[in-house]
Amino acid sequence: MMASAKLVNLFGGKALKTIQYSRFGFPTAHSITLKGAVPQLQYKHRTLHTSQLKAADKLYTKEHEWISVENGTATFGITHHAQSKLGEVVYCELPEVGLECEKGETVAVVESVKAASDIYAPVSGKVTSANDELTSSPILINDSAEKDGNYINYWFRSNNLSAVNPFTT
Amino acid sequence: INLMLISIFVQALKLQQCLVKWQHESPNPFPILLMLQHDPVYTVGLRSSVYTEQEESNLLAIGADFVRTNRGGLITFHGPGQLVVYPIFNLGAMKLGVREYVYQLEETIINLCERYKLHGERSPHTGVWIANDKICAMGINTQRGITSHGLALNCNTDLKWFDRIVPCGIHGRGVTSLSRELSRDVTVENTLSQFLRHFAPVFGSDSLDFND
Repeated sequence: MMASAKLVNLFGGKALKTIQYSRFGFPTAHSITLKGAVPQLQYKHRTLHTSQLKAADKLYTKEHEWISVENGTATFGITHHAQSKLGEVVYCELPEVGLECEKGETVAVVESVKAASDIYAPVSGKVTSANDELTSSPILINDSAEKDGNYINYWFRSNNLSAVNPFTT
Repeated sequence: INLMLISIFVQALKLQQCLVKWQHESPNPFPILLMLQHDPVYTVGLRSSVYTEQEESNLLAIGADFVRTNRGGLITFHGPGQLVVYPIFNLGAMKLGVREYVYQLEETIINLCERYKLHGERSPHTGVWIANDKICAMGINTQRGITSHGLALNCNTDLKWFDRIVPCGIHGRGVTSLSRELSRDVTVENTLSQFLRHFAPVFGSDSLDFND
C-alpha cells in the first residue's frame, strides 16, 4: 500500500507525537504540509470503534470540518480544503453563545463569491463561545483555516465520545 | 434537466426549498434548472441588516415587492425582461466546489455574451460585466452541497428600476442589458435557447429535456 509506505518514513519524527496511529483503524495520508523544517501531517482516518482520545487531537468530518477536543470542550472550524473550495470569505454568521444544537444542524453560515454556504455542527452540544474575530475579519477563515479561523468552542453534553463519531475516511 | 416558467418570487423561493430538500433526500435525484421571469421585486441576501426597514418601505412604495433571502450577495432587482435561472444542483455529486460552480456560471454567461459579440468579463465582484456595467447578477445558496438561487441576466429589463438602489452594494458601477448593448430588443424568449446552448457544455451535459 503506497500510502502506508510513505507514512512509515515519516514516523519517528517528533511532529507526530500527538497522533496515536496504532489506536485507530486505517489511516491514510491526506496531505503533508511543511512549515519551516517541521513536517505536519493532516490525516483523515476510518475507525470502527472509539477509544479514549488524547487531548487536542484533531478529527475531521465528511463536511470538511475539523474538531479538536480538550477537557470536554471542543473547538471547531473548517478545513483548509473547505476554504479553498469556498473562495474568499467576506462574511460569517456565528451562532449565539448558549445555543444548543444537534449534530448535523446548521450552526453557522459563511458567504464567499456571493454564495452563502451552511456550516453544520459536527457534534451535539452547547455553544460556549464563538470566535468574534471571524465576524470582523472573515478572511481568517481562508488564511488560517485550521488555526485562528476556528469557529466556536463547544461544551459536550457527555464525555462519551463514542456518541460523537465525526470520523471520515 | 427540466425547466419551468413561473412568476412570483416568493412562490419560486418555496419551490426551490422543496427541490433542495428533494435533491438531498431522493434516492434518484437529477439536476434541475429553473428558468423564469419575476414580477418586479427587490431582493436582498444574507447580509440583510444592511438594508433598513425605511429603505424597504421606500421600495415597496414604488410598486415592487421586497424579499429578504438566504442567498449570498446584497441587493438586486428582478423583473420582466430579465432571465432568472436557478440551478438546483448537487455540487457534491458533481464534485464541484462553490467557487468553481460560480466560476462556471460566469463562464456560461461570458460565452453567451460572446455569441452576441459582446465582451463579457469577470471582476473581483461576482457577476458578468460589460465594461463598467453589470449585465448579469449572481447570488447563490448552498445547503449540504445543494444549490439554490442563481443568476439574473438582463435581456430587455427596464433598467430604471436599478436607479433606486446601489446594485449589489457596489458604488460607481452601472447596470446594462443585452438590449441596451445591442441597441435592439432582445427578449427573454430570444435568449432562453441561447442560454441553454451555452450552459450545457460548461456543465458537461449533453442533452436537456424541456418541461413546461
